[in-house]
Amino acid sequence: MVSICAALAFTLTARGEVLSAAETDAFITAFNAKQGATQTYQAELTQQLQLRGLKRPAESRGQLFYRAPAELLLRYDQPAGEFLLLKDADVWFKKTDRPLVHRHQVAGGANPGKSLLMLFRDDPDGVRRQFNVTVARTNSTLQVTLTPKEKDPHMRLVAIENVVREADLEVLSVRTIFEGQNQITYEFTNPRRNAPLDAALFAPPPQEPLR
Amino acid sequence: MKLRRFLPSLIAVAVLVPVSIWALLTLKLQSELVPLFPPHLKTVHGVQLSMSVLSSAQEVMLLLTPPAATGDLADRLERELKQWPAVEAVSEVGRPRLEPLVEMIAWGLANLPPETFAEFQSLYAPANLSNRLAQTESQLAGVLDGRDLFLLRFDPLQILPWLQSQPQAALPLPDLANVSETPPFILLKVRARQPLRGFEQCQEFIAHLRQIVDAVVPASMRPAVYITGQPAFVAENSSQMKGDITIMVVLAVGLTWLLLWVFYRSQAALLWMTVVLALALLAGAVAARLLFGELNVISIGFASILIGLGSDYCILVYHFHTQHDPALDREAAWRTVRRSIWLSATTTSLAFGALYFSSFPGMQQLVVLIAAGLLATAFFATTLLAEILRHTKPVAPQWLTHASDWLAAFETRRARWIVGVVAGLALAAVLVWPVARHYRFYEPDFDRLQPATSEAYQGLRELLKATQAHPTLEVMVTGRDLPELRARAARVLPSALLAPQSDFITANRQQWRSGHQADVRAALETAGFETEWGAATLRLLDELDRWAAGKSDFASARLFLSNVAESPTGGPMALLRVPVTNDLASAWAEVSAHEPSALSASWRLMMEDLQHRVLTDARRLSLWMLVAVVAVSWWARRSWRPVALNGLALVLTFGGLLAILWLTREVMTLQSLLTLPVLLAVAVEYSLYMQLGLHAHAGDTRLAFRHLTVPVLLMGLTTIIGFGAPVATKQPMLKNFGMVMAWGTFAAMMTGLVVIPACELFRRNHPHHSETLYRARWFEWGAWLAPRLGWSGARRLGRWLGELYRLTHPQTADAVRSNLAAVKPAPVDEALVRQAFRNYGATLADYFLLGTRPRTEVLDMVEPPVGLEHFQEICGPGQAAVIVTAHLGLFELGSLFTADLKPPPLVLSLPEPSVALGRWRAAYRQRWGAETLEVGDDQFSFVKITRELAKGRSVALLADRPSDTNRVWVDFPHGAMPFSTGPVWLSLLSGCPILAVTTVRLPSGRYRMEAHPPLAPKWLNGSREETVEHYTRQLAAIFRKAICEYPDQWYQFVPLSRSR
Repeated sequence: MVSICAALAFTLTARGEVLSAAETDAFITAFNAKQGATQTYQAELTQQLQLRGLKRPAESRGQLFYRAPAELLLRYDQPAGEFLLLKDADVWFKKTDRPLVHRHQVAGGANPGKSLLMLFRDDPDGVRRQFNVTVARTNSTLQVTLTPKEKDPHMRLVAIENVVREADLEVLSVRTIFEGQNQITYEFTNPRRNAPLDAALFAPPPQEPLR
Repeated sequence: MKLRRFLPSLIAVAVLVPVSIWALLTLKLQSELVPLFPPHLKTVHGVQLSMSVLSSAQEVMLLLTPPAATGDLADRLERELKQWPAVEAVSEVGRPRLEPLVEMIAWGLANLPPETFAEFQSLYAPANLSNRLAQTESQLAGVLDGRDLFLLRFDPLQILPWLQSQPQAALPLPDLANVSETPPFILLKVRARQPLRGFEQCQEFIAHLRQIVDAVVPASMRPAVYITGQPAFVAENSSQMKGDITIMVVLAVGLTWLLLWVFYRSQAALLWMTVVLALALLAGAVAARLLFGELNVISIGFASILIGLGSDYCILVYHFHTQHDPALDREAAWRTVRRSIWLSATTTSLAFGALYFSSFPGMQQLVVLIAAGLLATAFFATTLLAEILRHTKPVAPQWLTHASDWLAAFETRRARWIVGVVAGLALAAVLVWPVARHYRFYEPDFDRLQPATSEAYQGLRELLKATQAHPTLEVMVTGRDLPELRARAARVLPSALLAPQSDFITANRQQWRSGHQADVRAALETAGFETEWGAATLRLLDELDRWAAGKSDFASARLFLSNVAESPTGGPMALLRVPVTNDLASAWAEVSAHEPSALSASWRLMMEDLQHRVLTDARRLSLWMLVAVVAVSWWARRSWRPVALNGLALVLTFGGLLAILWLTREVMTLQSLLTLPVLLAVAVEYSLYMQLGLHAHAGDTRLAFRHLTVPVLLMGLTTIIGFGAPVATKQPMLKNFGMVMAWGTFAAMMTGLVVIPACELFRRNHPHHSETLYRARWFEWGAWLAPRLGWSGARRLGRWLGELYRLTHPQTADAVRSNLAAVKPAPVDEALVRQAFRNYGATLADYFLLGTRPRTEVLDMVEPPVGLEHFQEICGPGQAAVIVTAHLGLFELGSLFTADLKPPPLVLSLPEPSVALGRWRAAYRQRWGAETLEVGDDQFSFVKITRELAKGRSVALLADRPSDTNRVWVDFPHGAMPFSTGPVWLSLLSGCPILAVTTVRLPSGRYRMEAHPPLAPKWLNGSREETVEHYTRQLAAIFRKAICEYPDQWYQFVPLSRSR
């Protein structure tokens, strides 16, 4: 518990100037308007997993593809061949040397990539219902911190920290922090919005025996 | 009080009481359920085996759901439970508790085949450790799944995936990825030190467990704690049943007592009935002790059927003794009642007896209890109870007689209407059937039988919901030794782990090399993992080291994860849980195809199997039950008529039940099928009582109904109360049983009380003559043909036709036979019956021929009349007489001798079936100078006749076929016959004397007529009825002599006699 508080205190002190409630609302409105206008999105992706007791973070690279309203593909180059596809309430993922997994998400259930899809599709009220939103300004970026209002025993989520470029409200990174000093960070580069995307990217992969 | 009459019952009581004390003291009470089922069924055998030695029978599950699913509460409960001496061990599922998990995994590893265990050990070689950790590190990149991450952190060397991939090594581990510090549930498995086999053991254990729960869990959280598992189900069901039986008994006894008091206003009635039923139950217990040596409590529970049926006999006897009608021949009536009771007891015992050959040992116990009890009830009711009541002379309230008379009158008046309504309903049922046939009258779904308030059932549902567990099929596999068991188990479920396997454990313990921990720590350090990642792995190695050193035997895991045991017949056996993907039946079909020796240990499959067995048995045995019913029904009156009527009663009862089920949208469950043989017995019983009663009272509907209406109504109501009482219980199974039985009994009662008597009366009200042959056209043809054939030819043809009529009209032959039984000793010589029909044919030929001949020619056929002076004496000018004759010989010939009377006499006749026939017969009589007056059985006719007599005009009538109301029973040598009181009433009211005339044919072919000395009735001291009865008997004595002398010329085709 002490370590969680210390981490939070560190995060908050590093944030810089905290926006007022009115400024926060204005930011959320503007951010949602931008995300809402996004029909497609693609970017280079760097994923970093930090777990307690793991001396070296595990790094991965790949691309992220999004298509409105609720399709998201994470295609990894490192490790090659792995992917994660979210399509409405269904999720498919493939890990090296493992069979393809297909799950039908239940409301509130924990699934990989959920926090990423939330960036694009959740309505502002939904985010406000579930999270306390704090926005801090540091140089040219805004650090948006979402802390859950209620503790989820499955997710064990502590906070989601999004770094957004203030000039164009482009998301630079998303960090999801879990209890026990575990966190995942996604960093995005070369984002492209509303460029045409091949529909085949989001086609459900051929069936394999269920895992 | 004549002690001699009491002697048989007193001797029986003197023998029964000490023997039953011995039986009750030595009778073993059995409280398990499975022994009631057919042991040769594989599913039953499988369940029995699994229950006898494996853990589920002594494992109770304590499910904590939010907000009670807290670690603190679970820890406190576990502590308390472990202090209870009756608990051997407690295991927890739901929280990531390292110690129990590691012990379970170590136990699984210890039971691996030695070569697999060696491979496992090789995983700890330094090179392998590095490789596996590198693999784990690589899996932390790319797609991230929380479940995978959790497992990798718990088991970075990925020992568990390796273990689960080995054949015969699948551990029943909880879903580790779903456990958390705040779990959605916590399950405490509590293992009793002793197997919990009986109801009482389960109840005691669960009650104490509940005390512990109540002491530890705050009241507000108790609704979130469920006690479930097999012993919890047994305890819940048995204690529920105890409460339900109490409700049922109190309700049934209370309502029955109330009913008897309302009907008879007598508490003595219930007291004596209780004594008789107690003796019957003792007799049942003696029979069970002698045949089985033990009794199951469920069989005892269902023996309430005996009380329901047995009390019927007592009601019949009691009601008989409340009847003090002077017109009643008590001895004859008592014989009928006694015969009815014994017939009913025999039929029911035989019908139930068929169930003895069912596959269910429980059913056999029940049958013996009921059959012995019913026969004992019949004995004590007709001996002890009858003798007691004979002396105490109970009295029934007057309103019972009035109500019975009203029903008798209604049935008599409306018989045709009732039969028509029943026929209409039957037709409606046939028309509705195409729609109704799709309705499921029988629903085998077991979930319907689970009480909605059952904590054990709710707990199980919550558990399945919380764990999202897939259903499994429990399978028992046996072998002569462990290798054979392994081979068979592998065919059933290749991945199944068998534990304990003593040979493997020994070999693995020997080959285990301690001290892999240092290598693991070094490998973790090198690969970039802190030691906390290897906590579970290191703990596992510690556990295995302790085991190898003989310091651990995996006690807790051994208790909860063992699935191999010694079978009762020697050799090992194992319980396997096969995942069910589609349905249980197809999973079992697949298992038995792979391993034919496997046995299912699934309760659900067993219940489905039992259900099929019940249906098969029902189909097989119902045939035998019907044969028994048919045989006894036929034997009751040596006639197929009661068989047909009982068949009708059964059809209407079961048809009525189905109709009620359809209309109320209710269904029958498996247990409710038990009601069918009982309903069969009840329906036949009521039907037989009514038939025998109506038959014994020879058409005296009023008397028959006085004797039977109230008993049958009471029997029906007490049966409805007795069997309907379960409706007030909380068990859906019992509720359904009670509902079906109550509606079925209602249908049987209405059929017995209303429809069967209506059918009997409909037949009686039906003309006794042939509706085809008794027509004017045939009479015209007869009159045309007879002269052409001449005396000899016409008589020959007449005899032949009479013979043919007998053969084609067995009911008429029965009537003649039963009437002749009053004249001749039973059995009546069939030649006499045959001769009566032949003579009737010849007489009809004479009748047709005489009508066409001149009077002088006719007189040549008659011997000089005897007693002509009596005519001259009393039938002078202005003097009239009541001329009476009987259906003996050619009675119409009397018209020849009365033709000279002035004015000519009136021949009284009931209306003929057709106007044409009435005219034809009147014209026939007119030819001999007699006039015909058609009269009815009413007071207006009576007034009309007395007016004619007052005018000095004689009347002629028949006296031996009276109506139901105006008659007197007259003793005959071997029975009694009714004679009309009409002539005596006419004589008394008009003052005209009575002249009896008989006409018989002599062997010569000529007729002999005799006018007997006249009777001049005068009012006697005493009641008017006594005077009428006195003179009617005198008049009947004249005809009795002639009938007894010429029984083959007595053309009485209506069944009237009463046997002695």
